[in-house]
This record gives sequence, structure tokens and C-alpha cells, in this order.
Amino acid sequence: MKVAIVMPRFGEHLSGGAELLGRWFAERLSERGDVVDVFTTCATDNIHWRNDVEPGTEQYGRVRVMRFPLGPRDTDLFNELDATMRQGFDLGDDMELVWLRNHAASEELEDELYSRADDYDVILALPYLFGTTYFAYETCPDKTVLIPCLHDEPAAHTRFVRRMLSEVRGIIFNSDAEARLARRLVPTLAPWATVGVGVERNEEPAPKGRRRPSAPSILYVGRREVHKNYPLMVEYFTRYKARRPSDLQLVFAGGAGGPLPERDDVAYVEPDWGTLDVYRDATIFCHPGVNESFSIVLLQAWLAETPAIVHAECDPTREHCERSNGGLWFRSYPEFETILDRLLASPDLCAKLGANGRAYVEREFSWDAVLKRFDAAIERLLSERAA
Amino acid sequence: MDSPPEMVVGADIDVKKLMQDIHEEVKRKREAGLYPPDLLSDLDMVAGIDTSDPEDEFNRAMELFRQAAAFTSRVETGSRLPVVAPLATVYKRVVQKGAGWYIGAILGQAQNFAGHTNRMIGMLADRIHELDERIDSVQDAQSAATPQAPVPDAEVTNRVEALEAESGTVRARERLALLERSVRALEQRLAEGGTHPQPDVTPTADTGSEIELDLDYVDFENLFRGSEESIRERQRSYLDLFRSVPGPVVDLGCGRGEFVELLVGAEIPAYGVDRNPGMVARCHEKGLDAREHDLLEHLASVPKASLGGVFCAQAIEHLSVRDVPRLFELAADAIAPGGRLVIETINPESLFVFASAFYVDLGHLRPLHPLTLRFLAEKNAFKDIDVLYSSMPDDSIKPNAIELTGTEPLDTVIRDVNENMGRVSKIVFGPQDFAIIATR
Repeated sequence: MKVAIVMPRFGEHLSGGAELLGRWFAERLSERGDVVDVFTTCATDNIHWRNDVEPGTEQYGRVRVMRFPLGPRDTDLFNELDATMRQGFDLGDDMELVWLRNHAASEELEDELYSRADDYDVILALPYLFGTTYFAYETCPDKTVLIPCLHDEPAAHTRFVRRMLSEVRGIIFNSDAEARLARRLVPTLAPWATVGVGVERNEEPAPKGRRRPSAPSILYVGRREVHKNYPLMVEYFTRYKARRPSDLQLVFAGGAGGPLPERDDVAYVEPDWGTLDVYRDATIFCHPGVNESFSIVLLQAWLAETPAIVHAECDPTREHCERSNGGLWFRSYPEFETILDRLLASPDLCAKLGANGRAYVEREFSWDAVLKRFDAAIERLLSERAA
Repeated sequence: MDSPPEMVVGADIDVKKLMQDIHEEVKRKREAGLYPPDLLSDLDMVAGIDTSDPEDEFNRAMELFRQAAAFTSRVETGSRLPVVAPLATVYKRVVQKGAGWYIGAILGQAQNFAGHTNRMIGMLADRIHELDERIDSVQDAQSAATPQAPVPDAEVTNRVEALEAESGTVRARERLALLERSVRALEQRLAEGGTHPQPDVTPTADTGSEIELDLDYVDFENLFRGSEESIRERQRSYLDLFRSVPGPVVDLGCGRGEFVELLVGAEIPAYGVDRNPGMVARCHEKGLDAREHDLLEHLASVPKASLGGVFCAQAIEHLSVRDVPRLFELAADAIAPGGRLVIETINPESLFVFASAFYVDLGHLRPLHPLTLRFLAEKNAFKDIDVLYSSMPDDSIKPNAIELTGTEPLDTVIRDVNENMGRVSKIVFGPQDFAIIATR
């Protein structure tokens, strides 16, 4: 199969689940013999969207990466439109296009994609919110399969998103919960399938005699951003420690963002991402986010057999817990407190949840299983329209 | 610490059953009063997620604010740079340690400011909640008193008399009548299948029209808006904007016709439009040309470029989210080149309005930001767009500066506090109204 992957940023050390998902698919598909070309921009930073690296073509393993410069960007105009959109206002078709054109878009990328479209069997575009994705769909609507990584936020209710979700060649969702959200947004959804992402152990077995730290800990992995809901977790942790004085720690790993709480029982670690040690060292993995479409870190925690707790309002992560029997979910502080009481009092319960989680990930999200679903999805999505 | 119950973990765990068990334990503990009320209310507030609920939206905004106010001098000193990472880390740590005393002093001032701001916003939020609860309790009392028919019965009459006796003023009767009408409107909406009269803030929803309230706006304005004379004086400043415009001026949502009177008095052809028949009747009593019509329908019905100006004061915040941009589109069509558009509304940049003017009126759907209205004016090709702020809150409600004592270092602290309070005051007690002014 010849595959083009269009995404706004591409690179080894970029933060963000969609970036990881796109790179992993590129790696796995090329490793099994598919021809994979990545169309991306010269940006590496998702805050300022500048041309940080040179345009041109480079080889990443077996993947050919083509970088194109971002078009000129009117930041003030974008911020004004963005604020208006996020208040729930309808910008109208024209202004939405202006918003998109100023949100990670490259006309040179679109020109190249258009001229090479016949070379590919399918064009994968992700995630939903960027100019690169939307204009890939506009440029090659019949070949583009969208991997939206959709969140329920004001931008998901825009005209262009609904247009894309109903008219694109096909959609690949990361979870059934994400597909349900899309169906709520667009009654006439384009053909779709749920595939997910492969999450596997890519490390040597842990050295013998390695032990978990003696103090119990709760682990948070990723960017410290308000919309990731981490302040809620800090607040709950603080209250928990006030009511239950102990040596329990809150550990943050990886990712930049907001300040770390200045407390003796809060720590930051820069982990070795080549191993799962950071997850193994934790007693409990906590994922408080409510805007997730999949959550790779949750599955990684389970691979390390660490039990998880997630926010009840996040359908995809809660459904992972329900289907795996590997995690619990909280909606309020009393629930958070009771769950922690139980987990911290019972290493046995933690071990069972962790083992269930690992079995679930290995069963459902090995790359073999994921690529099988992916192949079936692509075959069906490309034939449905043609039929 | 409450000891958790003994767990028996079998080979298979059913997390749904486990969660049921946890919910029951939480319920038992709640009923046993094991969670202090302040702990629950405080934490339940930040746990809110559903942004379709305005209450939750406010809580989320508060959470963002709290987060932004969490200043720290501690930053990560690690580095991912190849080769030089250890050196970079040492350098960052040295800089952090060396400049710590200086940054700490600056942070102290910022924290002081944030603390005052946080407290003041908290007080305002409490006040809003208190008002909400009072409205709820009155509604409950009304529902209990009138289970079948929402007309005042003997019990209501008795309550009116009791209130009158208590306050010694007929205002009590007027206020109760107003509340009765509000309750009737709420009951009607409930009977129609609504759950709570929330503003429609979903631009894609089918029901984008103005919320119909069974509210006597003539009574309402008499009670809360101010006398006709005071409104005329406030609106007089807009008069010059409409001199020499190329056609008649329409006052959309003209109310009791104060601005139409001013226009006519200045020999500027003008008429008012209001959907409330009571308001239109009041205008007719004064001999003014006023028409009972939906504001947007009226604008859509006038010939293109036939108006010299559109004036719309304290009405746009009653429109649904879909109708706000529509108003600008229709005004752009209706106003002749050189004509004026003036739209006055409550200023959401002043936090005080949320503890006073905005929530007094049941018909207010959402506050509108000056940037939003400016954007809509620009989008519809209006030019010379300006924002005019008005209605400063009375000085008597603002925090007073602390007098200096003449002794140092106490006065340094007092000056810092006064400066910080001044900044807070600017945000909290800004102008209560603004008008977007634009030329076609």
C-alpha cells in the first residue's frame, strides 16, 4: 500500500498524542513494507507555529518526510477569531477558512499533495483542528481518510469540522466513545471505523532485583495544561494529604506547562522513555483529563501493570477501564478519596487491576491487532464510496 | 483516618461492581457527615466539566484564574540538549539559586495582588449565589402556594400585605408581582418540557430565538432601569452621533422612548421599535412614533440603505447567540452610506455588573464583549468603529485607599496594598456599559 500521512508537526521528540500516533503509524506501516510519505510543516512548536526547521525532504527510517514552510500568519487576527469561536460564536464559512489558514497551513504542501495524489492509495490526515488536515481534505477529498482525534470542545462544533466529518472519504476513530461524539456532531457521518493505536513494550526485560520505590506515589504523565485537568488532580491530592497524612507522593513526568506545586510531596522526573520504568515506579497512574480521544499514556501505564484512575467524565478513558477491568474512575473528591484509600490499602487489588490492564492492552492494542483493524478499515472505507 | 473496609479480591475483578461499591461507601459517608460541607462544595466546584452549563463555565474560569494565580519561582532545571545537558542543568540551577532572593521579592508582590483579587471575585461569586438562592426560594414558595393555577390567591395576597406592613411601602407589592410573573414564565417553560430556563448558547441549536418571558417590562423598567428623565440624560451623549445622518433613525428596543424623544426634540426624523406592547403604548402616550415589531424582523423589512441610523441600547443582550450577528448583518443592509450604528450594552469587562445589573433582568441571555461586537461590525464592513464606555460605578462602593501613617516601612506596605487594590478595583469596578459606534 502507498500511504501519505499529512500532519502539522512531525518529529521524534514532539509532545502530543496525535503527533505520536501519526509517527507510530508511519513507522509501523513502513516497517512492514508499505510506502509511506509524510507531508508536514517546518514547525516543531505548537504554541507559536514558526518555521523552526528548514524545508526539504529527509529520510526517517524507511519513511520519507517532506517539510513545507507554513504560510504567513496573522497572529492577532487568529487570536481574535479563535477567542470568538471558543465563546461559541459561529464565524461563518469565510472566517472559519481565515482561521484555518492561520492555524498551521501550508499552500506549498497542498500543491505538492495535489500533484502527487495519484501516487497514493490513501491519504491519512490528522488531527482534525489544523489547516494542514482540512486543506488536505479539500485538496484530495476522494483519497483522504481523516484520523480526527476529536475532542468535545467549541472548535469541534464548527462548520468546517462538520463538513469534513460528513464528506471526507472515510474516518478512523481511536475509540468508540470518540465515534459517538462525532455522531452527535454530525448525523450523516462519512463511512467510519474504530482502529486505535498500537502500544507495545519496546524494551529489554527489567533488570533483576529492581524494586519499586518504598514510598507510594501517584503518577501524572504529560503536559501540565489546564485543559488536561491537572489542577483538579493537584487539588484533590492536596486535600487527600491534608485528611490522610502519609508519605504518598505526586509525581509528574515529562511535558512542560504550568508550574509544579511547591510541596515536599510533589516531585518531577524526566524519565527514560525507552523503558516503562516511570510507570513501574508508580503505585497508581492518574489520568484526570476529560478531553481525550484515546490516551496512549494510560495504555503504557497498564503495560507496566500499574493500576489506573481516570476522570469519569472522559468517555474514552473510562471505557478503557470498564473494558479492561484495569482501572477505576472518579467524579468527585469523595470518590477520589475512597478509591485511593482502597488502592493504597491493598497491593493485591493494585496488582490485579494492573495485570488486567496489561492483558487488555496486549490483546486489543498490539500492533498486529491494530494493523489488522487498520487494513480492514481502509479496505472498507475506500470501497464504500466507490460502490 | 477512616479505615477502608476489608477487600476480598478474587481472580476476576469487575470494576463496575467495584465502582458501585465505592459509590455506596461515599453515599454512606456523606450521610454520616464525614465530609465537611466546605470541603465538598469547594471541591465539587472544581470538578465540574460540562461547559454547556453556565455555572460550570464560571467554575472553569475560576479554576483557570486560580491556576494562573499559582506563582512559583521553582522551574525545571533539566535539559534535553545533546552533550551539553549536564552543563546546561548546572547553569540553570546556579541562576535559579543566585536570583532566588530577587525573584522571591517580586513574586511576593504578585501573590499579594492575586490573593486580594481571588478573595474579591470569591465575594462577588458568593453574592451572585446568594441572589440565585433567594430567587429559588421565592419560586419554591410561589409553587407551594399555587399548586394548580399560578394566579395570586388569598395566601399570596396575605404575603403581599405582610410584606407591605413590614417595609411600609407599596414597592413590596410591585416586587412580588414581578416575581409572580417570572415564576409563571418559568412554570410555562417547564410545562413545555424545558428543565431550566437556560440561555441558548449553542449556535447550532434549532431554537435560536429570543427567550419569551412573560414579564411586564414597563413595570420592570420603572423599578430597575431608572426614571425616564435619568435615561434621557444618560443617552443625550449619543445624540450628536445622529446629527446630519442620511435618513431616519430607528431606535431598536426603544422601551419608553427616551432616545426617540431626544432625536425628535433635535429635529432628527426618528421612530422606535419594540416588541413589548406596553412599551409601545407608553411611547404613543407621549406622541412618539413607535411600532410593535420584532427587532430583527423590522430591520429585515425596511428597504436597503433607507435608514440614517440604528440605535439599540440595552437590548442586544436579550438576543440569542444566532441573532446577535444577524442584527449586524441586517443593520449593514438597512443603513445608508454615511449612516450610524450605535449599540449600547452591559460591559462584561467590569466584574461588578455580574453582581448587579446583568442578572437583575431575567431576559438577559449572555453578556457581549466589546471585542466581539467590534469584530461583528468589522465583518459587516462598518468603518470608523469605536467603543465608548460609560456608567462608572459609584465611588462609594469601591475599596478605599488606606491612609499613609508617615512611618516607614509601614507606609511602603500600605502603598503596595493601595496600588494592588487599585489594579483590582480597575478590573472589578470598570465602566458598567459600553457602546459600539460605527459608520456605514
